[in-house]
Amino acid sequence: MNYSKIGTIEGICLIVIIIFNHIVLNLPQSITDSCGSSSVLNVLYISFFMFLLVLLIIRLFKNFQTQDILDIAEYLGGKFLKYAVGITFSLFLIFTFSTLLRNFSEILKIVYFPYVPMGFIVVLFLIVVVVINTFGKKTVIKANAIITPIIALSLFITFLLVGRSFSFERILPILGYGVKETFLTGLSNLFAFNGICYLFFIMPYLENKGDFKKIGIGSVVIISIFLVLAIGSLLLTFPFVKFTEALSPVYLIIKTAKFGTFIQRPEALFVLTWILSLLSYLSVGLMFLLIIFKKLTNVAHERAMAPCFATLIYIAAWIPSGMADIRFFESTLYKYSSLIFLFGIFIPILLLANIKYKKKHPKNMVSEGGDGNEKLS
Amino acid sequence: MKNSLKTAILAFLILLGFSLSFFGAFNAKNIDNLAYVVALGLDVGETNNLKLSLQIAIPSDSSSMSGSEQSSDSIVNSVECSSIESGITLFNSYISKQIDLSHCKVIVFSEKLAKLGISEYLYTLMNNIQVQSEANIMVCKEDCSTFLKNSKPLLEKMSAKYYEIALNSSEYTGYTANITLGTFFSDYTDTFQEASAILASVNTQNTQDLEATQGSTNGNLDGNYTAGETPIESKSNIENMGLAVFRDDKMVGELTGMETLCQLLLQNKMKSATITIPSPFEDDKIIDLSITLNKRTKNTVKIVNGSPYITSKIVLAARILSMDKNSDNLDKESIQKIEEYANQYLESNLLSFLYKTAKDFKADSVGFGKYAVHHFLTWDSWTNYDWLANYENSFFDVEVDTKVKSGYLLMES
Repeated sequence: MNYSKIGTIEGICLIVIIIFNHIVLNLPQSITDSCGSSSVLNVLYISFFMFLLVLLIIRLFKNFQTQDILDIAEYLGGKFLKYAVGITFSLFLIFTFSTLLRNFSEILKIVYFPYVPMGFIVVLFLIVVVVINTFGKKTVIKANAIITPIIALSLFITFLLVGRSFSFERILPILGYGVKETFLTGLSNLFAFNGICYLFFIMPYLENKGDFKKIGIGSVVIISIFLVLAIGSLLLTFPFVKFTEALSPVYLIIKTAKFGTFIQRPEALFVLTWILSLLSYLSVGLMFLLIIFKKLTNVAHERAMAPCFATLIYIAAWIPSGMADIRFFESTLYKYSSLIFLFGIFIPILLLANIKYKKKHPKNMVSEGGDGNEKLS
Repeated sequence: MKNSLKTAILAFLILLGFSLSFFGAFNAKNIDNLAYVVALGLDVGETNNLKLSLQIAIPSDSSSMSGSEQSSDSIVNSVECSSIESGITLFNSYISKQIDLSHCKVIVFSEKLAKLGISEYLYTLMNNIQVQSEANIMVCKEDCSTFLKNSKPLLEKMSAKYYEIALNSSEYTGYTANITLGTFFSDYTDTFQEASAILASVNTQNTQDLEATQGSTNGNLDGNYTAGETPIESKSNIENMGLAVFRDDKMVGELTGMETLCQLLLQNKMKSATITIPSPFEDDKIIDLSITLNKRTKNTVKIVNGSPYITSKIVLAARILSMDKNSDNLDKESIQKIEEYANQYLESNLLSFLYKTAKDFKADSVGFGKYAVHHFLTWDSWTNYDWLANYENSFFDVEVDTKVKSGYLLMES
């Protein structure tokens, strides 16, 4: 069966849109908080580390070329492990989307709509996301492939515009808070590559299985470039003690950027692209939630569940009582849950499944689990 | 495949339409409900913590009705209040329009308030969504209300436009600098340097008589004025000249026009300027030079026995402006003499400026800290050294290399 599926560009866009949204909010801030002036060095270091890790993931998926992590979990530990992984990851996604949505809505409210009820902004986002998901996965993926380059360009222009304010000495002292903080505890900043978690779910939808390698490597390279640009811009423009409590560091950067005397408020234009970015991110996120739900329940029409998940995200968005809670959720809960999923669940499952596979098939390298192809609808 | 692309484009358009709908869809405010502030002044209050002065733009159709003494396109009002926000609330209830700071071009602190400390006001302004980080920061020598009332654009009709372009003169005089709220706040929070603000004052005959007491050793006064002292025969108006230097959040001193030029030279921010040096050929004569930076200024900092040793090498290109019938300035030997005199003149001014910042102000207004930080590997070692406190122990060495290229139209008379 050969269906029209996800290509390389679409796959990369699915992963990098996650990071773009976190870059616009407080990802750069979380990293600079932990490493100080050595943040750029730390990002280069974790990028290299992540690159090696993605090569490992690509290698480990070679025996499971038609399966996602839920299929592999089932192969390794039966239905129980599949359900455990699926449900916990779904909860993590709901928590992540709700926190990010709330964070962005808070910023929109503060900056542009001080008199509009928060619930109204949140609901507007979710309605659009549900409508987009009713068109189907292919639509979400292709729309995301249109939007992601626009966001990439807007971020790139933002960083370029503040170039005149750069003071390269701000990356000094080169070791920031210290060697340990940069290279050892700084490894926890691998959470910045959280989008790689989605790599574990896209294998069955790939048009060409060889694209998996390109998507993995391409995503890491693009994420690394934008992380370096975002953190570099922030660090080189402001004293890093300044923005420890900034609403959105990238918003702060764009407020500083100048387009001459003709355009004095460039931030409005960029906020437009960031709204698009959040919508695309939430659409992709809801799509993955529906994919997982379908895998776990085998329902025929999973799209009907989109409003239910949107409602769950809406309810979860009210858990943080204010920006302080949102910051705590993002800088602590999100950070460590991402690391737990990536290093504590997905990679160990993949490793153990490979060991099991090799024990079962000492020389046979044929893929397990039928054709495993999933049709995008 | 075609259908999926169509649906994707439809989805994209829905997303874009939704994003666009955010712009103004819920915004009930419009220009009739808002009062736009073009300048905001903060002063020490007499009956309360703060005296807040606002220069508010008058919409063009009603500007002709204004009979106030300030420029006709705006009014200046003041209120004694406990904080900026409470003052704005009092204004809101008084003028029946909502004060909007998004077009505020200038934030003025009175010298009195600046000497007491402005930290809380800086953070409040930075926290305000409407205030732009591009707004200029000024310190005025008199109370802010008087200062704003005397802000009468000479060659501009609109106060906002006047404030916007008034500081462009720093690009060709070097006697002041274009310092914004963003850069001021950045310098204030930085560990590399201290902040400085634009020094401004109302220039009247009284301020000229009172304050024009300084003079350079060679009798050249032109660059040695600070704001309000320049002997200009004109109606009272505001003047930006020199800088106000801060240590932490408190103003500790003033820089004259020439000292400001020195700071800009050391910071690589000087675009072009005119300096007046004693003539090497005739006593009591002077030569005017137009200078630009020929290369980036090279600053280095070494830590010698715990004290900073700061060296600067400035390379300038100069053109001779002043000519008279006896001028014979452009043969090789004469040019060499002029270059030597220019170098000596600038070196002595630069050293005097640097020791003034280190010994009198104890404030690194140039930002040499960013050259010193190379010697430290970790943030802890840098903060433990405490550059800003150690700056007062600095000693300096300055080398100026001026290359006189020629005159302009006349080569020699």
